[in-house]
Amino acid sequence: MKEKEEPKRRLSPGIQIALTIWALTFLAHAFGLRDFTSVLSGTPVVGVPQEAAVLGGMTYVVLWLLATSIAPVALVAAMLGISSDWVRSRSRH
Amino acid sequence: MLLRYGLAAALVLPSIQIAFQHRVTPDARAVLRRNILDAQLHAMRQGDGALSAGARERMRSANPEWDFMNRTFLALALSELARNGSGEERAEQIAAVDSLIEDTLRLERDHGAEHFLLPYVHRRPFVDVSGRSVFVDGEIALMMAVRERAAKGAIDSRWTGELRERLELIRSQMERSPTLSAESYPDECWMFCNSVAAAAMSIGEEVGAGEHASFARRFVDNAKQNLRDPETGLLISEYTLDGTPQDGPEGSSIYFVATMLAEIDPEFAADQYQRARRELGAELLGFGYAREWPESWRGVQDIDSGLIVPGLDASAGASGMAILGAARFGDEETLQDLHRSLHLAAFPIEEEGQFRFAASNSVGDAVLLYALALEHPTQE
Repeated sequence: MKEKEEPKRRLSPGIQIALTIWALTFLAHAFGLRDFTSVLSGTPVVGVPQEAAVLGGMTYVVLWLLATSIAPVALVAAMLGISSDWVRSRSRH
Repeated sequence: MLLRYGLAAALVLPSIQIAFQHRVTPDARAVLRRNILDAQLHAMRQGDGALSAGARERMRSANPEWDFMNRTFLALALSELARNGSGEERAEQIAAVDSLIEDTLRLERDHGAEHFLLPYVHRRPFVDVSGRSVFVDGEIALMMAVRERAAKGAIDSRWTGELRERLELIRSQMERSPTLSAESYPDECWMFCNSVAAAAMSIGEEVGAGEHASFARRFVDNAKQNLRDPETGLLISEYTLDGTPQDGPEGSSIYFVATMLAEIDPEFAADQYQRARRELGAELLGFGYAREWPESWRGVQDIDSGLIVPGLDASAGASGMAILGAARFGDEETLQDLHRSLHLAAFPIEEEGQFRFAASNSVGDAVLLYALALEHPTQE
């Protein structure tokens, strides 16, 4: 008799979203894009063409804002989902 | 799922500000003041008394005015701190202002006032016979005036004579125009620069550098009557020598204009701040920011506004100046909201023991330092 295959455990979408955003933000920080945010005040980045500096700076700002707002929301939504699934499974028993 | 995300958003988003609350209290701002002051003084020591060459060239490559304005705002901050300080620290702060003034005058002598101006100053001649820029003259006069006021009664006067001469030049230039204003660039009068000059005149009279306070009041009265945006009641930012408006109210200047006008007409200045707060100030989930333009006037993104964030219309330049206005007029709620945004979106960095904001530059940090210094009530 074939053994019943265990369903693959996957991270919930909310947790995946949160981890992805935080990982990208960490990478942006590790690559030094934080210093590119000086373009917000119109200050050039030494040795970097203006367009690249604006792109890098805005990328960092967007990722940072996502990391401090959307990622926590996604994580909490995932926790709420996990909690409600757990409550439902308990009530079935 | 939508409900889950909605509930999560309702829980999380209003709470983000809590993570920054410990950084915006008055005590935290006092620590920030010390950090920025140390960094600015360190940069001065690196640059033999003015600004470090690296910081100076980086700013000058974007805008030579920023090099100059860094000096002014740092002098304003140090003088304000010295006014409320005492003893050795006060003497050191005054000495630092003297060093800034000396270096600025040296550059003016060696390279001309154009050294601090954008290249377009050469496109056409000044309308006024003097050919002088009140942007340069006014800020040098202001640095001298605030230094003398801060030193009064404790440290020898040093700049009164030069201040007197410069104020007389400025006044004669302003009196020749129908708007009682002077040019910063050929046929460009900026409210920012003229209010600096007027404040320098008012403070100058306090320190014995001539009797120009009544003229400063005449300038303000004329501006009230003739140089305001009819929709918002805010002073416009740029006009020609004959008073034709060129740019409406701007966040990157009005808050500082109000701060300067507080030296001359405190009631009108407070009114301008409240109008700016209403027309330009905004807040989202506890994070404050300022717009560059009111709804009634749409300008063009420029070097003064910095990048404008689409959707929010948030301007880094205007938001930095809004901190200055909130500090000057004692608006603690707005000040905390703006400081929250500063710590969220300006990216504070401490490197090799020196503090700065990555999204700002040295002049932005100097503006912030002046705002933090203004939070000290004067002990007079």
